[in-house]
Amino acid sequence: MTTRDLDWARILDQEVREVVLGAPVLRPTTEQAVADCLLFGQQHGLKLRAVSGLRTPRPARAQEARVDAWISLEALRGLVDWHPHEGTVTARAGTPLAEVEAIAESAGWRVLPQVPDPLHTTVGGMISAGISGLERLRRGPLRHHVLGVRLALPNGSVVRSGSRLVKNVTGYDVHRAATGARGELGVVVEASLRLVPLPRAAFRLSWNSSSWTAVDAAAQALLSTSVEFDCVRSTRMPDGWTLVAWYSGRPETCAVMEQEALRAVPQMQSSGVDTWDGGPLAAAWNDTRASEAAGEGCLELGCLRTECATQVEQLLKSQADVRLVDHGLARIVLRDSLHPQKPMHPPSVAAGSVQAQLELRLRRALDPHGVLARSPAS
Amino acid sequence: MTAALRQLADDLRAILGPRGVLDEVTARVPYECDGLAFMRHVPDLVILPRTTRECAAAMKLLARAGVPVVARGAGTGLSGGATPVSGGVLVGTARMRDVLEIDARNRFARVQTGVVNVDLTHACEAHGLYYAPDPSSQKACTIGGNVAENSGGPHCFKHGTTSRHILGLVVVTAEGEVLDLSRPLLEPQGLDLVGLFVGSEGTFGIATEATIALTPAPAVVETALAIHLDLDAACDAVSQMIAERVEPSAIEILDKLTIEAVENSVLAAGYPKDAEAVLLVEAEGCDVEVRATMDDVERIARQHGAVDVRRARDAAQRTKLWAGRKGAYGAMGRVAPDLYVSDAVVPRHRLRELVRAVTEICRERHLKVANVFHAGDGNLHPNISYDRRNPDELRRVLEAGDEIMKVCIAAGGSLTGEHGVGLEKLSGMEWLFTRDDLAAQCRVREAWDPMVRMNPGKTLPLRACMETRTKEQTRS
Repeated sequence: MTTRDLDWARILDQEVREVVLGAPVLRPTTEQAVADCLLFGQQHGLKLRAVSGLRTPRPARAQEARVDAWISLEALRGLVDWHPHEGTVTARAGTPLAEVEAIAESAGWRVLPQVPDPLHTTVGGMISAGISGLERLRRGPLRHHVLGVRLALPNGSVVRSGSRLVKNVTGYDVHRAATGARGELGVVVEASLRLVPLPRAAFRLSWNSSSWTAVDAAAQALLSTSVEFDCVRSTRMPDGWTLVAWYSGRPETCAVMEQEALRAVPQMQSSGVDTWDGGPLAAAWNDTRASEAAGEGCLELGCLRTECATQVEQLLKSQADVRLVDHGLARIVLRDSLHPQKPMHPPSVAAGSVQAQLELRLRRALDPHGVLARSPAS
Repeated sequence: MTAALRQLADDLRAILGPRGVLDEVTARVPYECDGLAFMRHVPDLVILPRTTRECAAAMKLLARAGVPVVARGAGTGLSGGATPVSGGVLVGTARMRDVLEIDARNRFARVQTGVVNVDLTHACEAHGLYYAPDPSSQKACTIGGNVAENSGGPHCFKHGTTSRHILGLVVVTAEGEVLDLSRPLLEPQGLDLVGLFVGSEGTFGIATEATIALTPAPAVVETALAIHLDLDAACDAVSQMIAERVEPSAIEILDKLTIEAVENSVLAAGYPKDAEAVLLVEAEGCDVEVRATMDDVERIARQHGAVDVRRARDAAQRTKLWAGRKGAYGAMGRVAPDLYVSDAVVPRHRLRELVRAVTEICRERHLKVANVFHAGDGNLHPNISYDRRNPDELRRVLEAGDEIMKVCIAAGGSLTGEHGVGLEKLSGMEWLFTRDDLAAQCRVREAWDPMVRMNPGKTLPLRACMETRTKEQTRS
């Protein structure tokens, strides 16, 4: 055991037993212990990285920047505040979303976003990574559903931003900036989420085609109806594309919406309207959720809806590995392993720009010594 | 006016033209306060740029001069956010009223931030689109003011507050640099600076342009007026609607005093004067959905003692019902010359208890309180009528305002749901947040505005920040 390990053991009141990619894995059991680890890192010029603890850190992560220790949030688990009649839930960062979903659904609520793998995704991981869910077209992006967070900072404090309420404008919305900041503004140790009603019924439309043009035309026809779809997305298959559209709501509304959608795109096959009781429709929903190919190893491109078709065509011509297109969101997901240098990849914020300078000042405001920084520039 | 100030006015005039600078005292007095009328301070100068470029050039000059800067839209805010308490230069957006672009296919608009909220809807309604956030002042308030305060309104129950609808911004920073975040992408490139900026109450910079998501106009809209003989029961009905996960677009409550004020005014909406409270609920969508939602609303309202539920789909009838609600603050002018509009948020399953507590706080201080609020969001608006020429009454009003905040915080609530902290709720920030919380927010503010010249004296109690800074330096 090294001297540094003894320091960690003193801070955490437990031995460090695990080393991953050459760095010890720290398992703080309280939010203050997370902040204490960060403060120690700041005092000793270390680079620390929070991980959910549900997955082993991948080599790609360690290569981004030096990591002197991993902070696993696995022990920060469980609900902090839950009232079945309020429509919000507050959970510790290491809580798997599957646990939050189970309790919310038992009272008729759905957790947003509907992440692809709730068993292995934690509340904190979802927020730090800014993971998009399946229903963003209808319900808005993740940052709309994060009502507040508690953040552990490298100065040893744990601070809150936002609240546990559905509406609140008190103080600055640091929680919005922390959403998708990949932990660079502090370690999310607790979060409050907005819930939406679990659908009473739903239907799914699907269609396979080998032609991107035909799939896009069908998607645009669906989006031009008055149906407020949960999602309209195409997934690339070995022999073409599968277009899937979901709508959920009251049974009587679903029936009307299904008719309107099929009038617009008669070639699509409908699952038929069914109640949402954990049966076949819920299983199919989970399949669509799991089809999300985002995350590490993938790139997301955002564009205007009217630019989306052309952009996909150009990507396909350039042999890019396009995996998924969210038509309503104008969001294209492609794997970057084959063509990491393609110019159509989203450019990072231009160095030296007003935006880049401001982002740097914000990171330094909350992490002045770069304990949580992922690149030397930040 | 000092020689330095006169020189500054001349330099600004060279950038903005003669109509862009107001230095005569009679021209500056109208800018001495916003809707929080008991706090006033006349700005040293008022400037009215027409474009982002003009605003940036003027801000560079003001940065060199080191003077405080306060941005102002229409001055309809209710927390003192646009009141120039530290003097300095007030930057008005009154001459920045252009709708720059409407992209109906991609459902967004780009506007200068002096555009009035409802004018944006008028500009895009021919495309079947509208701008969803609808504060009561929407006929006067500007998009820039809405961005600064993260404004809400009745229909934010379904559609969310301003932050949900702002896709991008052009911001002129305290140093006069232009931060262009205007591209309407769903996910921010880098940190979510737009999300952080919205609701920053003019303390980060001046938003000069906004890219705004537009919402498709619904096919069917129905409004229901549920008439209750008991305010508690109306609150319980709302809590049950939330518990049963009913999804209308707006759920509002008006109490007896509000009803009387509205019905005695030109805005008379047909609310029954013998009711103790009315619930105003609206649903939108397709015909069958609206009908089913409103059937649920009616069932729950009647379960909680509603003696009548009137439902309207006719546009004229609905407009009349809403005119009463949106004009309620104006109608309260019949009760007393001044109105203190409080704003707090509470957990929705505790509405009855907290509305009662607020009423009791006012009753104990012999104050007239009317409740008209966004019940579906738990966003209370206790409106206290008073006369500011009566110092004792003003003292009791402010004391009641503080007590209301404390009661709401103790119940797990928050200081403000849509009006902002401004000047009014500064003291409450130390009740709600720890010093570490406030210190972190101070550092975020200084990242945007290192010299703290933008809207000084607002949003964050600087004393708390300075104390924490000292503590932090000691710790490190």
